[in-house]
Amino acid sequence: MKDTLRRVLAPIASLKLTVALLAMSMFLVFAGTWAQLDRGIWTVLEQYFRTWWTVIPLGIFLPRDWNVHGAIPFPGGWTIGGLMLVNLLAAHTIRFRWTKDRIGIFLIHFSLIMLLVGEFATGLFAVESRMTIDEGQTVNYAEDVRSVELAIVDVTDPSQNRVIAIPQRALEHKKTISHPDLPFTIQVDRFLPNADLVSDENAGPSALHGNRGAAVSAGVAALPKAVARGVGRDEADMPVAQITLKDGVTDLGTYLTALWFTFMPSRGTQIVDVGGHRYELWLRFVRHYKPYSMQLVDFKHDKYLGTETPKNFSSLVRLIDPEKNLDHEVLIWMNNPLRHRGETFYQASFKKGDMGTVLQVVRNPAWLLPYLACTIGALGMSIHFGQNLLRFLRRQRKTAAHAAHPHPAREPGRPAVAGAGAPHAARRVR
Amino acid sequence: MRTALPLAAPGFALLAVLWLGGCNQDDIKSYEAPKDSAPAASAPMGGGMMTGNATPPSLPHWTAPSGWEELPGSGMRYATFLPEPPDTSLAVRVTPLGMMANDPLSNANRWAGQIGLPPMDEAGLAKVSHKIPVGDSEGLIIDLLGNAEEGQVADRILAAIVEGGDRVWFLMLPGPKDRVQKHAKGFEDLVKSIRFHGATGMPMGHPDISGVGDGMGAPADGGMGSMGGGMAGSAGGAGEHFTYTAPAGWKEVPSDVQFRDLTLQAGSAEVTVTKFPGSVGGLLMNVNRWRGQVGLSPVQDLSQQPLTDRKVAGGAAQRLDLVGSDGKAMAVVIVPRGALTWFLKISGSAEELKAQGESFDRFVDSAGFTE
Repeated sequence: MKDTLRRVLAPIASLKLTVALLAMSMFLVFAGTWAQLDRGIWTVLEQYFRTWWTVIPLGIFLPRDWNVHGAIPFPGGWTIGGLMLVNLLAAHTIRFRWTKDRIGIFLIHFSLIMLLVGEFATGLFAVESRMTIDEGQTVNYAEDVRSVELAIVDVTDPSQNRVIAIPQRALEHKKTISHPDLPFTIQVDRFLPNADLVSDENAGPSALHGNRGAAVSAGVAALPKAVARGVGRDEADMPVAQITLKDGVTDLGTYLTALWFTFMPSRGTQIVDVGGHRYELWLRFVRHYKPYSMQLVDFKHDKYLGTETPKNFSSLVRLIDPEKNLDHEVLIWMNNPLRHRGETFYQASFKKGDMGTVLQVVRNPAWLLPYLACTIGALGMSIHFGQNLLRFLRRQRKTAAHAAHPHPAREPGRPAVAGAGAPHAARRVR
Repeated sequence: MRTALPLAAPGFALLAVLWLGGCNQDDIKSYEAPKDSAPAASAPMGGGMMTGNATPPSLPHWTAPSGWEELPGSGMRYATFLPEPPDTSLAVRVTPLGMMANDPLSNANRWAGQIGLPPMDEAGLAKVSHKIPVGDSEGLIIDLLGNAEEGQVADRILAAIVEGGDRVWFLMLPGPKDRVQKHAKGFEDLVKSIRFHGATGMPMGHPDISGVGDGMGAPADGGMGSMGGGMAGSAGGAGEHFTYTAPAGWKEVPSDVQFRDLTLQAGSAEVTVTKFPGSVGGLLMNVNRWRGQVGLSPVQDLSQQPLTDRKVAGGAAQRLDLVGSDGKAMAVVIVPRGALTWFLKISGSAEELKAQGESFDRFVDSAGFTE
């Protein structure tokens, strides 16, 4: 059994594969760095690293005005990182043995595994969102401003809403969407990742229209627009989805849902009444509701005396968490985040006129792994190199003793000079 | 010989768990959520757009004339009535605004501009308006007959202004003279039937009106020309501030007009800087709105309009100069910046604008946009 396992894992545990994967990861980082000339960091992260497969345009390595076309398919970050992890685990399975001398090596490798797993878990589970609060306002949700969702909000119940949230990926790929909590199906006629709202009277043939809702009352249509590159400060995608609602075979109307409408709720509200229920349609930033709420008591924007140079930003918030029986004030300021329920609240930005704050809310179940990994790695290296140092000192003492009391014959296989043991040990470290 | 299997096996298992755990991230979610009672966090700027803690306003109830169809409201419009259903080309639009918009003369003059009429004074307004009883109060009917130009669809605007609760309600019926005349009595009956009650029992399909801001002009053409700007936050240029150097003699004055970044007094002329999301309904719609403000009639295309290209803060911009028949004048510089459009405008008498011309040029040249 063990021999079979060894035969299967031997090629996967190959040191040559390790070297090849390291080289590929270096090339991927190199390409990803150049790609950030044209794309924002989050786009590059998704396109190059948090993906199994990517396509690297050759033009990213060259001056852009050369207009070089062509691209090479390449394994994405998850493929390379995953293979590295499998390679390392396979090597441990068939090659490494538990001995006292190798504790350091094991700890170093364990820290590498933790780093790889940590990034994998971060890519899959970490959520970064933003909580914007006006002074005096209480907010109980954060928004992921990098993706949108189509929220069908049943507002019939006067005490609370039921939200059916359809993620952007479903809008991009699915033609018809249904859900047990929805009395109608949603046909996604078209999803535009970025669009302008224009007057529908001069919108032109490529524009998307609605025949009900805010698009009709405001007299607007949506014109497709190139996706924002994410490198300029004025660039942001404003998606639009043209959807048709159907109750069985009955057409309930075609609506334009646009992220723009969330910025103007008094005009962007779109209501559909079906089966005694009232639904609102919103294409909005992905919302993450919280079991607690935050009220902004005061936002401060301190400047260095006599200058406009910012000195400090701070938000005094009231944290209200009924389940945890919490109701107290907390000060959040630069590099001093609030940690609550596994989330970290950083002071990220502020509203014009210092009238409100913007907190970055980060939930990352794997946040501790890199710290642990670095600590364990440091410990492993200390042990490993400490052992080598001790070995070296012992040999040096022995050499000195030999010099004082010469032996007729040198021990076979032993180096003649002091310190030659170090490279020997280093070779054992992969 | 012992291998490192104890270390590797949990590693492989963890990989599998992570893989499976990350596979359901694109599912549709259904959950209970509390009612939104506060401004959307997604609108980092222009939070004044909504009045989250406002007391529910009194809402109008009415009886639609026989044969008319009431459509659900949407967006800023509270309700729409079709006098000749299902024809939507003729419609009564009902829009609530803050009390600051309750200025019959300025609203009448803006509507007059839209159908090619010159501005009027109080005496002129008295000739085209009359009061009618609305419940225990009264409303004002304004009937404007315009000079139809070729291709112009609406040449008459029948409007009513009614105060209710803490808001002023505008009912507008624009259209061709003969068609509006046919429904003039029905329009008055509709206005007379209005009664205001509390927020309970809202008519089906009406939108949330708590966000209707004060200080905005009355609805013009249902487009986005006067729509909320000053928002967009991260949505492009969100945190951008306008910077400028004021020419000698210009003075910044406070303004409570929403979406306006800056108001300056330049002699007797007023200089304003505003920003709006997106393309704001298109250039034609905006040009016609500005033409209306100086008493010029709308145009069908921009080919004959005095639009010139120029640069502002290193970016492309356009300038429009308008002089109305009544001596009013306006110059507007339109500056698209990412997802926002900025408007730098000077308005006043033609003489004053001529006197302030160079100063306005210097002001525009000094314009900058910073985080």
